[in-house]
Amino acid sequence: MEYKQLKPTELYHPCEPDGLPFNSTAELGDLDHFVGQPRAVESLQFGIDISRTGYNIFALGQEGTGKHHLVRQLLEKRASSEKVPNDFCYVNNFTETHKPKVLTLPAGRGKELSEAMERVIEEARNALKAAFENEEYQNRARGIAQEFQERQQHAFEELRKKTEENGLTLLRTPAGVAFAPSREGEVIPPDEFNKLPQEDREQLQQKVQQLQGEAQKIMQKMPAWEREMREKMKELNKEITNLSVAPLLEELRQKFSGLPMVVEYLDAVEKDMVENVQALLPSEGGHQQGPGIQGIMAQQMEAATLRRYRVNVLVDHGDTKGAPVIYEDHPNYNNLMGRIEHLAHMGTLLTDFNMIRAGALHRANGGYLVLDAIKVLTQPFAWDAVKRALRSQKIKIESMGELYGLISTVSVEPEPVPLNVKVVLMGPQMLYYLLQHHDPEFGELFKVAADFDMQMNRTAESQEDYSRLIASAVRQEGLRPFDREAVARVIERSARMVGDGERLSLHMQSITDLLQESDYWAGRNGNGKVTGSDVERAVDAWIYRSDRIRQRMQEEIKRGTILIDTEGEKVGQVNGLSVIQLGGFAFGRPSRITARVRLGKGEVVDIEREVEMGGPIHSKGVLILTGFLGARYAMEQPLSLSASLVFEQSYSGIEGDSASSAELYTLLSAIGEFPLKQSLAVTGSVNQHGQIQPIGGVNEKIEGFFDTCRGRGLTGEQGVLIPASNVKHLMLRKDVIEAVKEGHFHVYPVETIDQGIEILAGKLAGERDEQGQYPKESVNGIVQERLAGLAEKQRKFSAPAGEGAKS
Amino acid sequence: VNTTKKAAIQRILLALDASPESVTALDTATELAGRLGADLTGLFVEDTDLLRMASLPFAAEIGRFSPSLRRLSLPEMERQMRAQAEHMRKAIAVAAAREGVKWEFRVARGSVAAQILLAGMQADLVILGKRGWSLSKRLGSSVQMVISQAQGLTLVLHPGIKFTIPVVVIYDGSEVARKGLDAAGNLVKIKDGNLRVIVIAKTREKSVELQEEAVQYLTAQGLEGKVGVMIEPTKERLAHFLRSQGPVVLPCGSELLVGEGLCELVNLIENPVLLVR
Repeated sequence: MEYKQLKPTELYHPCEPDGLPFNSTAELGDLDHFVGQPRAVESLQFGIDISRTGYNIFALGQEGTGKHHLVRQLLEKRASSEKVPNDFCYVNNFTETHKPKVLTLPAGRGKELSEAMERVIEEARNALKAAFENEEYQNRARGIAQEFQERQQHAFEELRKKTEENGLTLLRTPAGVAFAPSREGEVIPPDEFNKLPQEDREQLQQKVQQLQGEAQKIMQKMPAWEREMREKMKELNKEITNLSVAPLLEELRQKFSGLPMVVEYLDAVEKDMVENVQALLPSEGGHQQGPGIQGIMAQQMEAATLRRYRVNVLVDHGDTKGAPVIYEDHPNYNNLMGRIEHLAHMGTLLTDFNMIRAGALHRANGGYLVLDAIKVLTQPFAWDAVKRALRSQKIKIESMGELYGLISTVSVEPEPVPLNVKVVLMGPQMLYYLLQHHDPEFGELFKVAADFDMQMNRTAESQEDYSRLIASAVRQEGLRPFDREAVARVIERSARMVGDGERLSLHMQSITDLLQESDYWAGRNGNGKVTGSDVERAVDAWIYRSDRIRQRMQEEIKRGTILIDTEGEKVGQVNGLSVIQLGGFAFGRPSRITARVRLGKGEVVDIEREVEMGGPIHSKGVLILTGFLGARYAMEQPLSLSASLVFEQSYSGIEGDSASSAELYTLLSAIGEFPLKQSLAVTGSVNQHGQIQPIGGVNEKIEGFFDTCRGRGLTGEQGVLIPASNVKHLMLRKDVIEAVKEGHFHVYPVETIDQGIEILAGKLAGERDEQGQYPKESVNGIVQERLAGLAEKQRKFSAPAGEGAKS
Repeated sequence: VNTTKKAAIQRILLALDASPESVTALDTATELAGRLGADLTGLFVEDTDLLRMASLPFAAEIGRFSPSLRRLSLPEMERQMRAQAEHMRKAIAVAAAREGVKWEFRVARGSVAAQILLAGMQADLVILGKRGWSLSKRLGSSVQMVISQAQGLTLVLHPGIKFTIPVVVIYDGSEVARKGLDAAGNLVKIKDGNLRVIVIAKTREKSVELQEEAVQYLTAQGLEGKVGVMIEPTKERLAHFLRSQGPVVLPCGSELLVGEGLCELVNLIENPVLLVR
């Protein structure tokens, strides 16, 4: 019997170098458009263009598809024509110190203000020092102090006079004053006093008590006098400060007159400087402050005073061109939202507005912020913070440690900064769908999805575009030019990467890796250009580096540790094919599938499932077999067998239904007790009508069985049955194609179970006649008869004993 | 110069109480003692006036900061004095150790002035804080008494004012004024600074003559300095001039500078004053 098999040309979808209109990539210019991602590009452009809240972008696609590059390029192009955003500064809030204020200034002016304030502080201190050392001030200050002193001296002088007039004396005690009767300037000794007549003593006592009362009154007045003096001093200081400071600040006010926010701030500074002039005055050198703790404290007090007038430029756009495009590589909470630093000072943590630091959102404000979704989501609090900021359009810096009570210390609550930013999140598709499903806010905030494709159609035109993409990458990476054949090989490899002869991979990372490795081999071979053979070498070398396990498996098959027959015929046994994916490398290997049948109730037992080593798709495939068997052979009688199916020597899980056709073939063989050729391997899933459906990894599977057969020596009988619908995916290895060309190996495209079983069993499948019967010698006929026999046995077996006796 | 200086001042008496001006005086005294290589004696006088007052049945004090009337008793007053004395003893120990000065501390009971004068007879220099009681602009009676009756060199310090340079000396051509020049010269040498001589004279002719003497003295001693002249100054004018200067050396005995007049001048200025007799 002749079966349809694929011609060598059908096994590979080559890229003909002659079809490429250039000699080497050096001739090709850069692309003026983006290749292969029309949907993503349009979505991005739409997302960037539309300036509405919530129109942030999620660029979804696998890593390595060039999302970053594309997004950045589009953003930078757009941003360069946009205006530079404002600078943001934090300044002291003189009324509520713990709530620093935000100043918004045109780009570059933040720094200008900050520098100007530094100068003002310096100049103000010098001016104040001069003013306060001035004779005029000194005299007026002395005058005030003198006035107070004279006031109290006068009061006491009066008291003293009165004391003396009464024959008493005013004494200074360690803690105050006291009165005592005196004679000739000396206090009367107590014994003498006691000798005085009662009357005199009482009189003296009265006098003393009266004076004590008066002294008390004077003493009581003194705090008020002192207060009065301090007030006067304060007024004087204010006057002097105003004279020194006002002109300096007026100059600044003129400079920033167009910015009411700044002018208001400068007014507050002036007011505060007047009120805190003592702290502003330079101290008389370190030594006067004394050594040790007190000296340090005094110095720090002085530093603290100067800090209050500083301007903390949070974001300086002085040198920025266009709108900013910021990519935050480590998007944790602090890096995104900014942070408040603390300084350990004598065992406590202190902070102020000067220690507020910008986050990525601050830097990107007025422009674009690019983030990796997975990174944002895996950082504690980061995702919520981003959403909160986007929703409220404000950046509020909060200390997480404080929020959760992890640190308790002096802190500040900076005024929120108004936010106007477009965020571009990048992540895998799965993440996008998960977020859409589970996070109700996500849809509102990220309305634009830019979906990146993994592959593109392969046509003559697209191959040309792809060549230019390769040329761009070659130039970008600084590699040797690729000649026409090398480009063709890269294109073919790209098709193989996606496992489809009619598609090309858009996984730019893998393509770039291939280009670089090819360039390396060209260098090793001393080529000035990268040639086709360099690319092939690179591919082979990559496979060799990755295929240790594949080789080990093939060896074990050859040594008979893994039992695979590649010759002869067996009943209830077929070679299935599976694909093993290890990191970036996938390879196929044959697996023995066996089936046994016995009398039963019409079920097919999937042993893999019974032991929970089979996945749900695999189980589904097996259940379909029951459906197929019942519909085809058991319309007239019950399906009276029990069958068990197993992947032999499988010690890990099995998933997928690509072996379901193989399982059906081996089941039919077991039922019909006819042998199947072991020189063939089978892949393809089957539906309830017996049609073969496509599967993945067809190239790897064919190559896997080919390697096994070749290891034992090709007999010319060997080959693989593949679904006909997988033919377009074929991009087989050269050695496989060679073997097919020479008739040593065969690839059979199969559309139905009947086609497949004919090849495997070497018998006709047989078609149903008008009575619904299959020809006796055909596969279907044999199976049908055998099932009928089983049903009869079952009937007899299950009939009640009495009934049997009667008949 | 060193030998004469050593011979001149070998024992310094420092009168102490627990007031802040005592602390200023203590610093200056130990520094001087250190530079002069003199011994320092701290004297704390338990004022009999206060003790007597505290013994009276109606004894009470009105506090400076809490203007309430507090009953006093003799035991309590004695206890306070003992505490003060102990405090000062410790202070002098610390200050003396810092300057490497040999020191002793004594407590005496009696009239403050009398006790200082008595102890001062054993010393070459008596240092006392001007009892610049802020409640009164007058000198305390004890200080007045010491100023007017002390025999040797007496240094009066104002609270909070440090002993610095340049030193100013009043010169009127008298014997004691020459002594003053010597004392001032010694001080200047200790402090490595220059000297200002203020010549006081009744007439301009006399002043020219005295001025020449002063210049000659400076040259002879190899001192740097200036000589100024005041013709028959009043105490107020002199005080006004001196206020802006450093320590002042006053030769007691000239017309301006005796008894009440001297006290008044000392009262008027805040400079450290060294009285020479």
